[in-house]
Amino acid sequence: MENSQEESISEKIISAAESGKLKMRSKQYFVLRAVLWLAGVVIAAAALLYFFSLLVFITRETGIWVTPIFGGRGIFLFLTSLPWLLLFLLLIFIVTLEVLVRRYAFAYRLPLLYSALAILLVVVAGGLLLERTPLHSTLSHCPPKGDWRQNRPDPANLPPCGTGIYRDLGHGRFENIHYGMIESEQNGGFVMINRQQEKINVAITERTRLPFGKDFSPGDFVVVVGDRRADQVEAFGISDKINW
Amino acid sequence: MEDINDEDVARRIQQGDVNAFSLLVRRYEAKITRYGRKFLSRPDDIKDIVQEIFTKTFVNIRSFDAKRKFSPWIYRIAHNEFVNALKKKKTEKLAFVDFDAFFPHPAAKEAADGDVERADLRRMLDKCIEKLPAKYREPLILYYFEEMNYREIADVMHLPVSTVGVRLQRGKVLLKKGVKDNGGA
Repeated sequence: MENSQEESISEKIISAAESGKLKMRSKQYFVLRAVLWLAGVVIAAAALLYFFSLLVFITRETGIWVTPIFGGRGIFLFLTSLPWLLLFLLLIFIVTLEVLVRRYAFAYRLPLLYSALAILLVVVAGGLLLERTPLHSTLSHCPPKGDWRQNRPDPANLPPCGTGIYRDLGHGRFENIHYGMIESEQNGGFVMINRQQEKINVAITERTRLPFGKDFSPGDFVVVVGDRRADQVEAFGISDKINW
Repeated sequence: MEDINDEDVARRIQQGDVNAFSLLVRRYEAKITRYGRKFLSRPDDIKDIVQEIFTKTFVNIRSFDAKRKFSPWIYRIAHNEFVNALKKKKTEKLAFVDFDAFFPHPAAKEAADGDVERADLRRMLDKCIEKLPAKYREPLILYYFEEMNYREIADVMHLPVSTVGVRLQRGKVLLKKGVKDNGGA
């Protein structure tokens, strides 16, 4: 019985092939499909590297990563200031890349945990390296780190620092976190200049938290946490340990 | 013609010898049908699915790398078709997240069953296969009936090799327990 069925299956397929109803896909079709798949892997990996380095850039340039040292309020600020949309995008692309690479034998023969960890490792290492390049400073129109104060550009001729995606995800969102360089000291505080070339008067009170002491002077870069009213900030916390 | 191996037959088909396809059907139809019967708990539509498998085999034959073994490649097509059939029927729950494939397992050595034990297990499988969860059923079938090694099973199911080993071990334990509960094979 099976033999007759076998005949019918092969006969059906062969006669359909001979009549042109059934066609073998060409080698080029499979090559193109493999190339497109690989392109998907490359695009997903590049997007991951970009988004992770952007996350590092934003947290570093805005100083939000130091806020947890100021206690409960600092942790709350840190959590509310994190670019969650960016983190969500990262998660989506990690899952996408994992799905794309599971097609390859080197990935599916390993436990999913290993391939996910390998992806994370590549993304973290690559993202940190990418963040060290001038990519984000260029794209965000922010002068490179350490350079923006020395070669002070004319604000009238420069787009605002942090435009487009950088403004939406970064600088524009942080109402209570201020990052900049101390320009001069004044009674009960100091004057700070930020990346947008704004001068901010920072007031230090008895309630101001100074986890690393008050040993700062003009020229130091600091992160100040506190509510801003016009150009005044009453500091809730100040840290000059911002480089990492 | 009967003497040439599957990979050479596939190569001939790739080069346009359409008639050579009947040889592959003759070699694999009974095996794939048996695989389907064990795989699906309600094998009503197996004949149609087997035909679909061979149609897809023919259409996609040029994606087969003739330097590799043919059987895992055709079983991969069969696996996908039967899993899709299972999903459509919704008679069995297929896990969305496969934790067995997520975490690493201690390297499982390929079981060196003796001929007698292998024959016993095959007999048990024939009898109790439907009582086993689908995730244990398939590797057992591929290992004991289709005589594939762990790596080939991993290629068919797209699973880590260590997960295949774990599922075979657990499947064997469940099988023996099932037989015992039923008063012996």
